[in-house]
Amino acid sequence: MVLETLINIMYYVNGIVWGLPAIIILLGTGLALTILLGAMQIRYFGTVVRNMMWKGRRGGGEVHPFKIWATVMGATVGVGNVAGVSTAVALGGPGALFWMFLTGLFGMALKATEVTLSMKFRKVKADGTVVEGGTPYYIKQVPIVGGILAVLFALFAFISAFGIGNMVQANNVAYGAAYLAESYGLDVTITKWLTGIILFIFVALVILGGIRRIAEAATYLIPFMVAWYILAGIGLWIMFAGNFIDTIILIIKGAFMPMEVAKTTASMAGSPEAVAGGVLGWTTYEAIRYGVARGLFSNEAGLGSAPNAYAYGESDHPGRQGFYSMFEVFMDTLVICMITGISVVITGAYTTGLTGAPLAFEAFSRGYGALAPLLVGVALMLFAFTTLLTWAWYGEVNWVYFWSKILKLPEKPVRLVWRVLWVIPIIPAAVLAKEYFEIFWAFSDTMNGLMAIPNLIAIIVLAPVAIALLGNFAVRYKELTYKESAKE
Amino acid sequence: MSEIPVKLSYIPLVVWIVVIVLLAGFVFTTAFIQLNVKFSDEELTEKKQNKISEEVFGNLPAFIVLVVLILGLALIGFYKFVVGRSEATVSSAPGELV
Repeated sequence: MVLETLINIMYYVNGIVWGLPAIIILLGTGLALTILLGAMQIRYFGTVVRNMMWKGRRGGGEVHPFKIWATVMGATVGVGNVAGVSTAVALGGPGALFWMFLTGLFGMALKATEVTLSMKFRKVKADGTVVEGGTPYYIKQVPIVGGILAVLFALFAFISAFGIGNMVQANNVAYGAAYLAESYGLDVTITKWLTGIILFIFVALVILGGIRRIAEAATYLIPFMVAWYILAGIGLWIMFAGNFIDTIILIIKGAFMPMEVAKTTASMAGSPEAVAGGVLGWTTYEAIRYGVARGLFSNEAGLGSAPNAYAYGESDHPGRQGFYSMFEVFMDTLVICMITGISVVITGAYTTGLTGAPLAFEAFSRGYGALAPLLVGVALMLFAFTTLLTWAWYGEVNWVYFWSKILKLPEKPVRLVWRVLWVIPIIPAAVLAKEYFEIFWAFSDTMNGLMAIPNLIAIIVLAPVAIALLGNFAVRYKELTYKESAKE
Repeated sequence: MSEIPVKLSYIPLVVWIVVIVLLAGFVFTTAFIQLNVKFSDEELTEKKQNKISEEVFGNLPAFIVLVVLILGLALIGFYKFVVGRSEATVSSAPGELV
């Protein structure tokens, strides 16, 4: 009875932190920061791109900024970029993509602010080693309430890491592998076990090396997986190029007007939901609701996850990492999410009534036929694997903050315990069905949503510092970057 | 490394409140108007109307509580952060050297 009540409370809180209230607050904070920064992400977009070529070094930090960027991309670009975006189109119609695009644009300002704060309030040794860095370290700078908010954030972060950062991802990798195995006539159970064991070994080898080894792995994997998916998507757009203009018109119309289409049959996905007959319809409210929600959850702006990694990057100015993070949101939401979304609309797959990953598979099947499981399946597996690696670090930063900085336990064993704990659930999560973990996943999902509350409070209070630093970096970019190159 | 002036005023807080209120107004008004949308399938129309009513108007108290909670705690921190000063400086160093 007590347990049942607790579960009901948890689901109620989940509905708030992942529902309309949180969506309005996160999007609104992104919009407010866009105004306060004078639309910096648009005005200085050229600088955002050029900044990606920076050679690194100077001013402390442990890992090259591009490698840190790749590490964070590993977590930001996840299954949500495929399944989440498809769901947004299925539930909100083509117009959802317009609102998702806007969310990405505002998310760039929000992410840059939190990342800049994490750089400003970190502590580094003269040799560049970061002693303290990550989201809880800037949250605790908030006068009076900062201390307790930082502890709450750390708790929410490492609990959510186990669920959404670890077990869900391990299950997703196994799902992708099982889908591939089924498509090519292989044994699904053996494939899941093999996937779990391989994943366990790889993750253990990588995370034992800390942020440096995670960043190394991400640097090799991320450009490959991003290019793989973008090329597959653009290839599909070229096959359906004749529909491109109509697709854009549909997206813009759907963003402001209710829409209705006749339901069609799925060609290859074969879901029992996909039967012809009847109509599908979307209101403008649904386009906004699902476009914004899936955009926000994909780029994680405002949740406070990414600053846990950015704080370990080499940098000469806190604003520089903020600019890196703007490019991260740009690639995640404005490029990769749009690849999925436009593919689903341009191929007409959105009229089948399918949702989630099967809808994306259906869209790619319409262009690539039997090759689609390979193209999307591999992308899904890579997206989930890199998310698992990066969340290991996000969780570790907060685990160490809680046990070592607050409860004063020795840091080395605390880190080791985390890394051992991190690999234990991988095999069960890969092999067993989702139903076994449903309640824990929902709990960790709720914790993940709750992370935004202390983080947003800190962002609102410390925004003047981030605004000053980002503005200073934007105008001094050339002086900082090219003077340094000349010296070398 | 240089010292950068930071303007300490309530402007960011005011902008945040205004944006949240306007955005919430926009979403809730849109949802309200969409309650009258009719699809050719009656069942679909009813399903959408129920969903919007439940999700939007059922969530209104939770939304207000969440905004007040964030705003209240932010105000406490912000007041202490800016009290007695209108301008401060911040170093452009990427972190504190220890």
